[in-house]
Amino acid sequence: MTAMLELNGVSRRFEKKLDGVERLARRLGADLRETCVNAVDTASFTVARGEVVGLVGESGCGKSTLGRMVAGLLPVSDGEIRFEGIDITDARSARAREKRLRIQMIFQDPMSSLNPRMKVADIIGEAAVYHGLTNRQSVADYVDQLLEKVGLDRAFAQRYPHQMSGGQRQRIGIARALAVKPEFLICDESIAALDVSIQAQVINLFQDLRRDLDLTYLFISHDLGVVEHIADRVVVMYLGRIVEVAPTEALFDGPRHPYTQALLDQVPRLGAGRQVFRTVKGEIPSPLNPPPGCHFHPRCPMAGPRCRRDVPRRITEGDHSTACHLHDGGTE
Amino acid sequence: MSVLDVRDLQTHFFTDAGVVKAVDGVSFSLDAGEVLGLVGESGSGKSVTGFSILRLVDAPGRVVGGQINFKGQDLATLSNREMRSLRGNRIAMIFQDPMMTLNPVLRIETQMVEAVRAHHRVSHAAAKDRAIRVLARVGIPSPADRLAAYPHQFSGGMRQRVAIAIALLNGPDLIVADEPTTALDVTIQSQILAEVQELARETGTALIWITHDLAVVAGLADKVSVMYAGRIVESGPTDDVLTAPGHPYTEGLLGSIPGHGRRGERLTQIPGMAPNMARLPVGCAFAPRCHRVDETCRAKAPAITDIGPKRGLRCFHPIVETEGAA
Ligand SMILES: Nc1ncnc2c1ncn2[C@@H]1O[C@H](COP(=O)(O)OP(=O)(O)OP(=O)(O)O)[C@@H](O)[C@H]1O
Ligand SMILES: Nc1ncnc2c1ncn2[C@@H]1O[C@H](COP(=O)(O)OP(=O)(O)O)[C@@H](O)[C@H]1O
Ligand code: SF4
Ligand code: SF4
Ligand SMILES: [Mg+2]
Ligand SMILES: [Mg+2]
Repeated sequence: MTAMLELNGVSRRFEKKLDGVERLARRLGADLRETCVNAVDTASFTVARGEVVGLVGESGCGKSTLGRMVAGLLPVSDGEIRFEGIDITDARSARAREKRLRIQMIFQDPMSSLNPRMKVADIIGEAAVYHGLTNRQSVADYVDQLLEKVGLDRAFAQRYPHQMSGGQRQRIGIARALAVKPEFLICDESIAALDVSIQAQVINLFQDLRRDLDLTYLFISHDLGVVEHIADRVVVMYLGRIVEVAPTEALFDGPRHPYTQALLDQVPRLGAGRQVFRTVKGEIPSPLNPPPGCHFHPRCPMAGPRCRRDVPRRITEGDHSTACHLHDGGTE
Repeated sequence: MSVLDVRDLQTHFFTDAGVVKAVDGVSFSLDAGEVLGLVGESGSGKSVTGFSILRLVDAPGRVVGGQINFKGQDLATLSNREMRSLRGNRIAMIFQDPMMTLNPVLRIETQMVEAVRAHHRVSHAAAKDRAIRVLARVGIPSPADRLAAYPHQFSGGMRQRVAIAIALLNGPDLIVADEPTTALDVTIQSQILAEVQELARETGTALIWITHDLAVVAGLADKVSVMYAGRIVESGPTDDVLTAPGHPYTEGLLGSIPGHGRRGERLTQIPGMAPNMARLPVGCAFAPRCHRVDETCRAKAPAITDIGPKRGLRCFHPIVETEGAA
């Protein structure tokens, strides 16, 4: 099976430039350097057509940065992203541009991604007209069909974003993404800001759309319950690196990486009764100054000397891959 | 005697669009060391309930009815000065945004020492000592060094822990925590939950934990009250309510949570959305979204009924017909 989407060693670095005061201080002899964040560090994985791949990890670990690179909203620093075999990181190639339109992204906060001065009809219709999927004469019908697809009354076409609830705005964001007939959707925390009952409506909508429109998803979320529900496979990130990739059931039933194990241990669950909350000690370290070797070693109960020294390789057994020395010869 | 006894609390906002009955007849009580989970969707009145207890409701809002008894004392009868001496001392609040508690321009040390000395005549050194112990307690590494820092030098999770430390500073009898972990990662959330849990057990502090996350309530709270449109629609021991919900809204909330063992299944949807609080229907506020609704529900609002010693339900057609139910 050839992958629909394939990432090979994709990295993204952000340089933090010194501000005026810091530059002055450096001229006066202070030891200040321009710092660099490895927001995403040599990420590789694939997504097959029709699959839902969940991307999880703590805040700041690089999920959105990765998603934005796949959506073509952010250039890569290194590596290649192939969509149906074509490298889409090449901004000048017409074929890459055409492929990139097949990939759409839906954001966490629909309010900040929807133009407040535009009516819903224009928000949804604009890109579709621009890309020739419909024309000025029939755009109104086109918008009505999309509203129906996302479960909204057509009367909403005449409203402005601020006249709608969070759940309704999220549906507009989805309708806008669907307007250009994408095959691949990146959902970045698309339901995080919604109430539970509205979350359920939107999750069901994603499932329906997947079936009806043959969509493939990269589903970014820090909510493990949601990811377990919706994803076929899960990619776990820690401080810019992918630490584990596995089918959802295998990952939730038998996580192999100590970080994934710790993460799953912390999820409050219904039906577990009164819980004694256990904790991974410490906080996620600063990405500006990540620990050497395995980034997780300061918090890892299994860490050994090798973990402080060598970056673990990702070892694949069957369809489950893990980047941890425990699974690659030990930590000594 | 209970630490807190809230009876028929009513807090209304007098807005241009009409009167918003944000809290409309809420009752519950809490014993020492007990944890109450207050759950419901956004806008259901959870925060206003918390603010009302601390008398922090601002115009156009006003507590218009009911009693709040704290250790046998009706808080409504206290002067503003007496209330200030309770707040941050015997009763503390933790907000979703820690910057509601923290002052961005003051060092942590200054803020914590002041918070102790506002209520106790102790030396600066003794107050600082206490601050260090409490910071250590909530898991801040090398607390003595961190005292010199300003709030912006901490991560979000650390800031929330400092805010919690300030709430704990004077060993309160009651803490009202308003969604303090909602914006945090699971790892940080579970550290905070672990600390809070231990605290309630060890010091006998009673806790109101406001959240929209039923899974957190399941793991943390002794009892739960579910709010909808300003009213408690169901309450009882956590396990009872979550395993056998009686109210259609509670049932809907539980069904809408994705999680273990339900992979790929369709989630139960509660149709529609939260009601406009300025224009509630005449009968049951949940009627427009309820699958058990009939004419009775549309004609008048159900009252809360006891269905067992510790369980209350506000519904004409509850799901489990327990003895005593209407
Ligand atoms: N434009 C930028 N300039 C500098 N640093 C950035 C930029 N965008 C992201 N970063 C840094 O890259 C890292 C990854 O950020 P990213 O937004 O991808 O995290 P995330 O996993 O999506 O987190 P969250 O769960 O909070 O959304 C962080 O350390 C962040 O501060
Ligand atoms: N300052 C205010 N003015 C007018 N209405 C308010 C104000 N504060 C809260 N409300 C209304 O009171 C109701 C309950 O709000 P709140 O307690 O904040 O809900 P939540 O359960 O999300 O914490 C909502 O309908 C809200 O719009
Ligand atoms: S490589 Fe070492 S430190 Fe990293 S997760 Fe594995 S055991 Fe822990
Ligand atoms: S009273 Fe009627 S409408 Fe209200 S929750 Fe019960 S069954 Fe539903
Ligand atoms: Mg993000
Ligand atoms: Mg609130």
